[in-house]
Amino acid sequence: MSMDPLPSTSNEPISLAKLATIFAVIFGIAFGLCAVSAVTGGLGSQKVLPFLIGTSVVIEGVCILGLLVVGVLAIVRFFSNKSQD
Amino acid sequence: MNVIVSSHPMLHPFFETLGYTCGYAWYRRGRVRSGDLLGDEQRWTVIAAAAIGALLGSRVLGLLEQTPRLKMTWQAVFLPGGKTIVGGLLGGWFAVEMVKRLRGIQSRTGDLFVIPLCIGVAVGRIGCFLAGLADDTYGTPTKLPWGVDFGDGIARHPTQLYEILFLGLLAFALNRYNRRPHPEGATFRLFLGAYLAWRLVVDFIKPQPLVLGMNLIQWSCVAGLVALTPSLFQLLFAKDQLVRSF
Repeated sequence: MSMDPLPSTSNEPISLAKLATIFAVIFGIAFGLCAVSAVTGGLGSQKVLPFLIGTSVVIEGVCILGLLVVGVLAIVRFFSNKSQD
Repeated sequence: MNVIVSSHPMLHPFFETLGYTCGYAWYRRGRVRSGDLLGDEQRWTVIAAAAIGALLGSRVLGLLEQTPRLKMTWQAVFLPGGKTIVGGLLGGWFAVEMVKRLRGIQSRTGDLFVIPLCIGVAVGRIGCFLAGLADDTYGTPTKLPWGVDFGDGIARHPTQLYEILFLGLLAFALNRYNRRPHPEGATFRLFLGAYLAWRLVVDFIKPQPLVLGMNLIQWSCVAGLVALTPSLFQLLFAKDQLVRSF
């Protein structure tokens, strides 16, 4: 009885640069939303102001955390590549 | 009779996002059509450096611009406030040059970004225009017939629309320049020089706080132009340049 070989998993590393770009762009947009919410008083409704600012701040926090993790991974990858050379 | 435009600041993030999207779509199109000297990984490294540098630069200069008007504290860094395109361009440029040096990337990398930047900034400026008085990009009062009243009864220079027009003309001219054989990297430097020179001039009709006769964005433009001029001259007039056309 023959079995089909399992599909091979790709060993290509995740592009850290792509991830960093995505985090930076999302941070920029969330920051803009936060600024507009503050200027307009919650896009015209005081009820949603805390929600909008809170959401923006959480997104910004996640993005900063993401950028830090990506930065650390990039440094680790850089040095592991150097030691292999 | 002046045009009256009511303020819609909530549209600003929408047009900012649309600007990023249009710019990225145009970049993809340009890269497929004209090819790229860099591989995918190196190109994404350059884009990431540009994005992070732009984010930091735009925020730092946005805060500094407000310094003469507001009492600044360290908490202000984390509070909502302005971002500036000049800071974004200079921060992105600086970060890319640093990363290129670290990664040993020799080739010029900015030409592919020129038309996407023109498109992205122009689309983003629609949001600035519609945001009206909530955004600090409007002009000084004017009696010219195309003055725009943003809701406070004062007709002002629609500097956002001037900039959209300028960027349209600049994109047209640089697109033509790009198609002819030219030194690699010259298109980006011409774009940056033209945009900084434009902002240096147009900001004289913006009601921003002044420091020694100019606002801080204008001083940043002067610094950027001083830093840019040697490499621009070197690119345009030196012999033995890598020449490329798209």
